Amino acid sequence: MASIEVSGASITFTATQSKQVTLKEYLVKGLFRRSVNPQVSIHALTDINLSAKDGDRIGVIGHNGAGKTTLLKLLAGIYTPTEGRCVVQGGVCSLFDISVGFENEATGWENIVYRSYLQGESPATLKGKMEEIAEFSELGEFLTLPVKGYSAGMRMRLAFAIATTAEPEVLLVD
Amino acid sequence: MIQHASAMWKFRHFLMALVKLDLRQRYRKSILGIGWSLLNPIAMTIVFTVVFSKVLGDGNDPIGYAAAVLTGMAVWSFLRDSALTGCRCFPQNEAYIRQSPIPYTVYTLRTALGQAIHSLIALAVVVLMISIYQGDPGVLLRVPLMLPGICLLFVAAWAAATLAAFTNVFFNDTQHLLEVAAQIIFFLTPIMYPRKLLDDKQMGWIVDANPVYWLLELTRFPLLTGELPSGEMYLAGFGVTLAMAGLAAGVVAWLHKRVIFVL
Repeated sequence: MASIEVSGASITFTATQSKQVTLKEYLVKGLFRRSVNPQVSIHALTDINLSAKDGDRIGVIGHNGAGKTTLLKLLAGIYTPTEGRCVVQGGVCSLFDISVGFENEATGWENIVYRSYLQGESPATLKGKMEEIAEFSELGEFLTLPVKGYSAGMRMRLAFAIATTAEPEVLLVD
Repeated sequence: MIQHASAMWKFRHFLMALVKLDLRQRYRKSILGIGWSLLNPIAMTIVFTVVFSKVLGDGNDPIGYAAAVLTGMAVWSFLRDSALTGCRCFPQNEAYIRQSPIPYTVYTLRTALGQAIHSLIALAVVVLMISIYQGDPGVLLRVPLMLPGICLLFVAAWAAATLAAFTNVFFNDTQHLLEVAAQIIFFLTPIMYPRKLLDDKQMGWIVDANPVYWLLELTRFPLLTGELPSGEMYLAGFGVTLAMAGLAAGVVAWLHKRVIFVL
């Protein structure tokens, strides 16, 4: 039986003003006690409490930057809470940024395999699903071509076809 | 740790599929395909046998010198390339990392496995060429003696790739600094020259203190001599590997949950 239990979960990002710190800069900062690239804390989620069980459907509405995606990534296990706890029981399938993360040099067929394995499929369970995914994507002959030549729409079709064949207990859609 | 290992095992099909893809891409890009990775050590053998054996070796045993250098180069390149490509590992797999909570060590293993297969091909060429030159198929029987060393080497390379990957996320000049360090270690390790050169000048301690040397010898010594390395050599090699693996495991436990916030 699947369930989601989130209690008092908060996520705080620590960002630096420039994208990254270099090891040289780190050493200089350590030696001279002077920050050359100050850190900034961003509170993405604060004290979230959520409980869900089998059959529940939950929608989250909010402004851009409100933390909707961060919450979903917390539930998917990609982010861990900096405070509080988040326990998700059951197989999770997450549909975030599904049109990215293809191996561009590989064909559509091959990417179906990689994505499906990433969703927890095995060669045995995938065997029967390949045709189903191909049919749902309606990409036909294009599946034999490398994904780098696909349009944005074709990528989306393929990604969606792969994602929908998973049979998760918890489905997270962004 | 057990949870981490079982999660890695769950995604083994994903890992192996990507390793296969990496290898196919690597060899397809060159005109000769997989032949290129064979041609490269063959050409180097000729250069080392004809020229360098006289300059840096004692000149009496050009094949022995070439074998020592090529084995050394194969092992060294494996370690160096695992660490250097490890630096780019997380940015390359960022799309997967942001979609699925699978252990990051899967991605560093992808890097180490890809490099391992490439290096094994180079090593196989060296073994075959020694066997052909010496006209002694018995050389091939030395391969099983090399296996414990190769296994330790693989674990060490995976640990190096993991350490490099995690460090590079926090400090983006890691690859550049590693390249500099690799060049220094290359000259300090008896790869191009025999250890005897340093021993004669009472500088053998430099070699003894070099972890790369112990990893290298466990693979090179059995191939060149046909004997198993001594217990002390195994102990040193095992100690180096254990220290690296321990350090990598510690870094993974410490930073695994923080990487996604920095990437």
